[in-house]
Amino acid sequence: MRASDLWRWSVVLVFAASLAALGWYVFGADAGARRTAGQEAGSGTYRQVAQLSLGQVEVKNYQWMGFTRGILRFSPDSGRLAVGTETGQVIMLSRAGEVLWRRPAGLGKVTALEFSPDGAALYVGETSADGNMYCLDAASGRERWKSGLAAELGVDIKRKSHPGVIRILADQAGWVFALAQRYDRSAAGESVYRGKIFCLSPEGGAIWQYPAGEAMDAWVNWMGADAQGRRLVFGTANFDTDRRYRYAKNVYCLDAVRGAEAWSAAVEPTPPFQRTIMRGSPNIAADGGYVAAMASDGRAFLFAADGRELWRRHLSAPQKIAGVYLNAVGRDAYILGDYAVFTTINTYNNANWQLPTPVEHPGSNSLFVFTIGGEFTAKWRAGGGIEEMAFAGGRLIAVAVGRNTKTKDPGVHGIYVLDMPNAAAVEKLATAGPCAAVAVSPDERLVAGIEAPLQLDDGSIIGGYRLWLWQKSGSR
Amino acid sequence: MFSRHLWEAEAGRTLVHRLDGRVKLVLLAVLGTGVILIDSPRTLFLLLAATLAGHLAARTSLRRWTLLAVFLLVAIWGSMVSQAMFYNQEPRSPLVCLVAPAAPVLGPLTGGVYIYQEGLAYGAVQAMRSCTMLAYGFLLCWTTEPRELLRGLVFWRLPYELSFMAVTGLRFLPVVLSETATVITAQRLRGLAATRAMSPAGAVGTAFRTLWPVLARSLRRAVTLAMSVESRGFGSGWRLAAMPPLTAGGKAALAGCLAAVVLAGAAKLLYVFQFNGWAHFAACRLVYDFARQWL
Repeated sequence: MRASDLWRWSVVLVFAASLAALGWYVFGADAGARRTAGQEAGSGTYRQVAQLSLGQVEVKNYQWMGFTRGILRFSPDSGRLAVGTETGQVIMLSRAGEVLWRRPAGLGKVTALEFSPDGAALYVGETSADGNMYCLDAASGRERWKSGLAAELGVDIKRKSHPGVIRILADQAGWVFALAQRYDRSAAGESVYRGKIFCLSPEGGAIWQYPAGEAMDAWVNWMGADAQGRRLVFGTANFDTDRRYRYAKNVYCLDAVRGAEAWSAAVEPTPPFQRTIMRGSPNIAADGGYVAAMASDGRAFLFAADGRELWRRHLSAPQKIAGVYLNAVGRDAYILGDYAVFTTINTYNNANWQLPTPVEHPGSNSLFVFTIGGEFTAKWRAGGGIEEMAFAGGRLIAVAVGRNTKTKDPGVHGIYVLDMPNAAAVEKLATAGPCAAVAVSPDERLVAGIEAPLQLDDGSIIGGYRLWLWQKSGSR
Repeated sequence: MFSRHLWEAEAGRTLVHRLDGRVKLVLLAVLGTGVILIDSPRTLFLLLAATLAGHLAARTSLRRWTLLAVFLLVAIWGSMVSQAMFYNQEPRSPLVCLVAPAAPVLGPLTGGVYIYQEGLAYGAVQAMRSCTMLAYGFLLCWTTEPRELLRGLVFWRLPYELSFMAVTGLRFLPVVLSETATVITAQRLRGLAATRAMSPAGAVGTAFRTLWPVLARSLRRAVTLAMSVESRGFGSGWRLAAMPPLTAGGKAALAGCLAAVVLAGAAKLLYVFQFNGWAHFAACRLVYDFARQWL
């Protein structure tokens, strides 16, 4: 081959390589599944099964209040893992980490996922102008039916105020409960909330709506149900302090068979707050016996099945230091058998969350365990924000730990496996970036987590938007 | 690069060579419109790949592939790197920190230099747009005789004078490059190391020394051409002989192009309407989803 031909071939090959790289960037960057050959993770109890790139998302830093999200759900038989991504995809994986199918949400943003009790169907809630809920065949991803649930909440496409199905639950009989909401702002700058709960048959037929004929004027961010689907609980997070709400109470419990209110409870605010806010709770015990709730102001509550408040605890009471109130935001509340579990997240300045705080609140980023009788059992300090909790078998809790906005220590990021009831961390599955979601398979063998990228204050980037799947390698 | 034959159409018997010039011109218009309207990186990449596949089908020679590759490489890397570093829209997510804000001197001066994820994506889209048109332009010129192009432009109702000027411009390009090579050779014979000047000052000097003779010769050639065509009655109503009607295959290709443009245009229009909050039709959800992913 002549020297000139060699040079020409080199140029063409460089171009071909560039084109291939461009093609990978365009097509492959969002679909980069990498199965790993059983690398040990943590202290060796778990081994990594797969790592899956979930696409490109905006890299956020410590100054962001909200953060990159993701949804994970294991099927009831532990055979499949459904993933809802911020990039608008629903991905189904096998327990070996193989991608079974993908489905883009198109215009919509995936905001809720839940398997049917038999694992044959996957319910997907989206936030979009249509506010649809989809029922997909879990094996193939094919659409079985869809319902424009949130259409009743209205839409303002000009202001991009879209309705969305933000939480879906399915009871053992197959009934599906969907919580839909829409946020808007009035011309006067006032927040306008619209919320509604729907009960559907497994075939998508409407059974009841709550409230019937209208929408709640409340911000309902969370909903829980007992295993039998007899009781449904939800809390409100109405932030506007000067407004009078029709749905002004804080905890509501519905008769899930009829869709009628069984009881509701108002919780008076604690200074310096003017409202009681519940964003990640309440939840009801699987047998419907108790309801646990956690207010943003750091108070934990336990209610009886009839709505009586049994006890309350101040887990992260606002503290006034150097003239400002510090608050470790309370979020999750669950009941696991004979115990109630509550969590708090980062410390914030009550006057303005973006302002700095001189110290961390001692109750921040922690998980608390109480007996049903109200006796303190254990506290576990996560070191970073507890983004989500998942449970299996009554003794195992997996916790997704994200950013600590005060210490900014990236060493705390990861999935932690705790043993109940002592909340002892028995395993840490470290990730470089903060974790945004976690799930545990019902057979307790698999743990999945979603990691998000984070920009540190020095400008460097750690982590990536990816799914991690670990498998238990032996019995503890 | 300076060889005249490298830029001119070459006879061939491939399907691309045999494709009617009129159809090729319509494809040019469709591609030109498409790359402007389409924002999806996936579709743009597919369009670029299809255009390059056209070169494979036309059995483009290695020398021509080299020329094409140099142009496309400059377009791809230039666009992506520059946009990745200087992207100024929000949101922008740093992928790599090249200079930390805390770095001495450059850090405070620049506020940090990053490779931005969104800039990379935007640069890739721009690169694919320009590369698609560049690659198709070369394909058109290398597989279509200028006379056929002229007849095609006239067939599509472009005024004869404008068509003539466009095709003459195309024919002039290889001539100018060939003359540039002649000038450089002449200068080398006179002892100037024209192509060895690697310094910026040397390159500028070479450019100036080359530019004037090439410009002078081009002007002289243009005057000669103008007088020649004027003497033959250019612009006084003289027209080319009518072209034969399009073949069935050509008509089918045109109908396909037209259908694709109309459908894609309608889908894009619907998407733009809903994106801007002007109109949303729930029944068109599939169209919106398709447009979001592919258009």
